[in-house]
Amino acid sequence: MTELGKTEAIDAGALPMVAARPTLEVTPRLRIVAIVVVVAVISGAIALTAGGYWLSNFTQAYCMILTLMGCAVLYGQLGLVSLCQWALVGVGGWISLRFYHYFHPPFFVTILAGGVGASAVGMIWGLPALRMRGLYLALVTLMLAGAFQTVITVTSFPVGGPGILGQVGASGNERIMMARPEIASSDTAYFLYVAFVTLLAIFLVEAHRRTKPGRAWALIRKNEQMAMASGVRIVFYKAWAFALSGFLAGVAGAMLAGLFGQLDASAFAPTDSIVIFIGTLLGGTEFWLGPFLGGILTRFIPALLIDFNVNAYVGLLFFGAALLLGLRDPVGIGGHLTGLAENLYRKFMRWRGS
Amino acid sequence: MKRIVSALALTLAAGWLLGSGVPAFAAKLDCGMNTGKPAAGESIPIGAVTSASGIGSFEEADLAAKAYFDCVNANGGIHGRPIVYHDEDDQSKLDVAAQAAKKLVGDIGVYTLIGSTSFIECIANADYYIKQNVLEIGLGIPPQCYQSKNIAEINAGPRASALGANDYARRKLGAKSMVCLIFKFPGSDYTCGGVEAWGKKYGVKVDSIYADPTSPDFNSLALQVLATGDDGVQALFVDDQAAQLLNAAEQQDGAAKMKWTGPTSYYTARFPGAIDTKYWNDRLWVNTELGPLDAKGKDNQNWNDVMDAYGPKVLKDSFSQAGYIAARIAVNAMLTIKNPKDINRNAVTAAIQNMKPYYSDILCGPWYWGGKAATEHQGNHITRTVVIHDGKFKFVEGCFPVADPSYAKSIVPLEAKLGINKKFDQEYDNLR
Repeated sequence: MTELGKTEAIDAGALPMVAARPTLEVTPRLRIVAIVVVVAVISGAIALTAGGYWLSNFTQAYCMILTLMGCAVLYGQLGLVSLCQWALVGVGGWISLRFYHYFHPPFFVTILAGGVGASAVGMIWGLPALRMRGLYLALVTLMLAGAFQTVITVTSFPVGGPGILGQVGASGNERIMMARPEIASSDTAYFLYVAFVTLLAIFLVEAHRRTKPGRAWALIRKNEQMAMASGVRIVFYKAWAFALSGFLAGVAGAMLAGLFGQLDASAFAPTDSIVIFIGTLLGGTEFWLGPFLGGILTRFIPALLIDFNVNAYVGLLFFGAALLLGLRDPVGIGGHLTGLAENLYRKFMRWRGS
Repeated sequence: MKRIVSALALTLAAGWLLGSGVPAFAAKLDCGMNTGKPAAGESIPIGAVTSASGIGSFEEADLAAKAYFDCVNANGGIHGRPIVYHDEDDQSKLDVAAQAAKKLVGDIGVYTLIGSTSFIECIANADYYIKQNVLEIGLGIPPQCYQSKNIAEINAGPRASALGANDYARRKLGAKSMVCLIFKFPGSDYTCGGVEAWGKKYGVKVDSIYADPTSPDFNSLALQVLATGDDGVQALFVDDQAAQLLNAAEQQDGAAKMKWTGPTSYYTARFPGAIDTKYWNDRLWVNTELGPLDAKGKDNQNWNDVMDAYGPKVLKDSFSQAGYIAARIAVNAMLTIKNPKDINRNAVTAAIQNMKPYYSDILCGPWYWGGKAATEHQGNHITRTVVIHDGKFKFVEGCFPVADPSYAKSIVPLEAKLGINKKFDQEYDNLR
């Protein structure tokens, strides 16, 4: 598939702007260092300063980052609007809880189970995207999110009871909580654990963007006929994108289950999937920093409103207003900040060179 | 500008005068130490996690608890220490409820939680409260609110209320078969499962119908209920849903075919206005967990007066009564700690666990925690029955213990040990 290599130039958005002099180039290695440093500094600051309430909220925010990354892959790489990402988090949570109560595996395996399960469901839910996009795909995925809420309200999440549904029914005493990993049983340690998994996920997505799948997605987004003519397997790569975004959502669901020890249908309303999409637009989809900041914002703002005892519905109003901004600004907060950082870096290198 | 400043100063002065007028009420109110002097020592943090938004809004109990604490603070506090009340909304969501508890118990460090009323909070936090050795007294819905070591509720709960109404239908209306109609939710099988266990014990056939909560169709539900051909029915809905079901049942002349009963959630001021009271006259029986709002009993009168002086006047209902009782129990327990410096979370936890049974005319029986070892709590399980009569509710039966066969194992022996509710020994014997 050498012809795919030639399409690299088309995918300008996902690649660094190549500067005239090699010393000014933002190299892949530098990007890796930047990702590690930014995530480590922000996570470290949160771990050192946040108390119980904020620590729990930031842990949840990191789970949202994973969900937004999946959403950003679909929208940023393929232009597909998926409004069922938060429901996929629920799917991942359900599967990981089910898996945990059956086998009591190590926590990392539980996370993987949630990710792989949601990835399979995400692929199936993504099937309509083979034929439709834009508003129709958005509607179909939103309906899927609604259907998931109906099903999960009736079946609920497993709590260690008998049968496939794992309910304990009449007795509240017998609910079993999902245990956190032994090295991360305290709130702070669990937050750092989630931060580490988030970092791994960022690299997973970056690796996709910079290799064959990323180039294939860019070509499909540009023009499906052209992509087909270039030998890109459209169905395969679209399904791959849905699988990846489902995997990220599933991992997020498993880590949410670990945070609270259990999950409840009340947390999986279809409106949350819309908020996730708005957060994706706000953060921006072109750079990893977009979903990272967008994810923190989607949890930080509601948490702040709750902390100030403001009615929950004000948060929705806020995101509605933010959507207007997001639609007008295709780069997002992440894009602006990345551009700013790269400019500063180039200026610094020029200053040092002169 | 000067004029604005002086107008502001006048307003503030008037506000201060009016504000300082409040303690004048205090003379006749019964609030904690009743000193009439405001408390000024180090504060005692107390919290509540309540569903103020989301599926429903349940703020009345918190507001009542807050009003009573304000009254206590104006009357010497807890040995001079004022109570600071932190109230969190859980939006009826598990994650928000868990985080609210982290904030209250972990960050603020509350000594206890009083007045919490939530759909989800007990499920989210029961384990956390045990780990943190903090107790909660409030109003509960899911089973975890009643079967947890560190949570006890002032209301009897949907299962007890359902059983109260069903048992009334068996004893007084001669029902030999009953329908238990409820929306399918986590924990709803705790309620109808309890009715089924009761039916087995007392020879009543029970048909449980679990309805879809996302798209309720009350006409078909009414037809489904009538099609069972049972003697009676109880729909475990909140008041506005119940009104829709009853209106649909009226179209089928349902009252002529079955005995209709309801849990305590029907007992609201607005409910009689939402149904055809002429049609349902003396044909709809409702269980109530707390006393009549206009009763002249001493505790009820004090609740009324405290709400008038310190609370929101418009929100006087059963929830408000329960929140007031929860706050009173906590204050009484804390006052048993003689040295104000010794009041901390562990001391308050021990004081509530070892509390003397609390007698109130609002409740039928004394409310108790049951000691440190108690793993479940059902302080309120003696209820009353009302019927729709002349456009309002009329009391038809006074206090009668709920006939839950599971009480024979835990509640009955515990109450025998505490030496309370002896007058119901006969009814307790029937449970065995």
